[in-house]
Amino acid sequence: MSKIEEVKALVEAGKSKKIAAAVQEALDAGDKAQDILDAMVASMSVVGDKFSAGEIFVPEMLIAAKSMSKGVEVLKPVMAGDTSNSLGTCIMGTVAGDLHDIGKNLVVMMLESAGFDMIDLGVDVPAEKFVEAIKENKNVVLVACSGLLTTTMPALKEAVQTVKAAFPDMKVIVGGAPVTPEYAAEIGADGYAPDAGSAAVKAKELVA
Amino acid sequence: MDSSIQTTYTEKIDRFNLAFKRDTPDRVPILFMSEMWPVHHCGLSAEKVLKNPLLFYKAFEKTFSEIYIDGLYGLGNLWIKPIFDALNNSGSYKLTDGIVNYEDKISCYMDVDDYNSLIKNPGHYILNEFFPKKFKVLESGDTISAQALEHAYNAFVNYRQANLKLIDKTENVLGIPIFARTLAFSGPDMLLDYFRGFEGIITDINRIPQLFLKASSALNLFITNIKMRIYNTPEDGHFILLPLHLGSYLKPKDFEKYYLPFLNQLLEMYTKNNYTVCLFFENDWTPYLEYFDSFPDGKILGIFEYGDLSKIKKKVGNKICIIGGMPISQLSYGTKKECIDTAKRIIDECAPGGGYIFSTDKILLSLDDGCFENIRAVHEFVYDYAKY
Repeated sequence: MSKIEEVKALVEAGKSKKIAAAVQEALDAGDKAQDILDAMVASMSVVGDKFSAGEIFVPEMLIAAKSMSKGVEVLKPVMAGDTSNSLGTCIMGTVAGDLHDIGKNLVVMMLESAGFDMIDLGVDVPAEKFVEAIKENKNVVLVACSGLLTTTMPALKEAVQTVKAAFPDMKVIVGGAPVTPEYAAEIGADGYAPDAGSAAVKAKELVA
Repeated sequence: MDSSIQTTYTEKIDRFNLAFKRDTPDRVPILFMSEMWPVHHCGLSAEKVLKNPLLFYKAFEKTFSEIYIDGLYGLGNLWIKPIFDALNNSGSYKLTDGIVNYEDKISCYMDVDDYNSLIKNPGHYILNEFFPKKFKVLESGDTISAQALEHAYNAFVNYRQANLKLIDKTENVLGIPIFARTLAFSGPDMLLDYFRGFEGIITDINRIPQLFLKASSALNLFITNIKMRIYNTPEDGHFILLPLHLGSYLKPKDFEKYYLPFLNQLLEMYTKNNYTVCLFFENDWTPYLEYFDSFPDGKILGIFEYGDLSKIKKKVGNKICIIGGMPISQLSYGTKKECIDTAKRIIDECAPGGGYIFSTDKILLSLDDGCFENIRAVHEFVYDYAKY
């Protein structure tokens, strides 16, 4: 197995303790940082698909994302300043009135693994804060809003519509247990994803 | 209790209790699962009713004179905010329309090094080590800490009294049983929800599985002991509500090892002592249904948020009484006819043989969670149609 294949396998298996050394070995063996990163992104794409298909569960997805994150840390100094690999910046948060963050945190990890630069605004985020974050950060291509309580669905709507009013061309993706594709369309979101795995797929589609 | 109300109440509670035993009552009982829906339906706000339990009762009185129900699942976390306020809420909790929600990432203050202390004596650990970390006002252990603890305790007593007042009036004046007498948890769910948080628990299962197992076991016994003291009339026809969280996140192999033994232990302890246990299956439990065969015999109920209820009934209806089925999304957005067609299909598929209770698939939190006309029409239909 080539070093790069080994890195891929370690990400998919969530071997976070071994990944840093494997990435370093791949670099030492002459593999390009970009190729290693692409391999890890491809691995996470497989992980996301398997999760969406019910073949793996949240913990496996979480530890795979954490492994990739550790691998990326090794690549960062080598790729410093190179933004060609980024899909752009994504602003993410759980909407106002809602403190639920497990799903949101998983989506942040999966989008990061897919190649987005993530700005996590946390929970209980007022609609205006999404707009401010778009203004304050460079190359924002996507806003992702999450909500778990049905009581905060109006806040989700407000977040989407406030972003769209300020930045009509900005792509917005929404998700959370009570959100349906119909509701997402009704409130003007560009995309909806039922889980963290498919969120990464949908996000990439939206910014392609 | 007025004798006609007594008759109504007894009829309703008996109807449920036959279903609890997976038997066949005179007709399918209708369970209403809501928090602030009746309050908003009556034009009241969460703030108002949380200041005055009597107003909450008035909302029940009006709502259930318009919509037929046989019983209410419970009341939710009403009047709980003053407890957090007394402890100078660290910001991890928030009340949204009267409903408490919390942020997983910053709500869990137990360090991985604390496992041994928790395992040794959960009560001692929670009071003397965990609470002072979670609530900074308790950190110093001085007079201010003591006063804060006293205020929190008094707020807890007020919370219990307000709940009991609402339950008492609803049962004794309206003749409508409110079933959840207390809320219990399994050890793994307590570790997840209150102590270690989601990422913490997933890491612990992978890195220190033995400590996770020992702590889960200690918490299982600790919480069950408390719950049996709080609710000590198991044969009164009501139930212990047991929401299940961690299980459905685990792959089946891990579920079998890290979750099922503790769930089974709880069910055995409660059913052995004649309690009725209502499991609230959050998330999708379809991949775990085969494990229900290991549940003990007894009055075990299951509220399912996701999955095909007809298949669930076929698969595990011999072990538990099935509750749910009516999608709140359809009650919100569907037509009256669509809702009644769905209710008919659910009754036709799930009612035969008994052991089924009609309800929504999720709790009606806000007014938007269900259109009044649709709910009323569906309940009228089930009342007339679902007779054995």
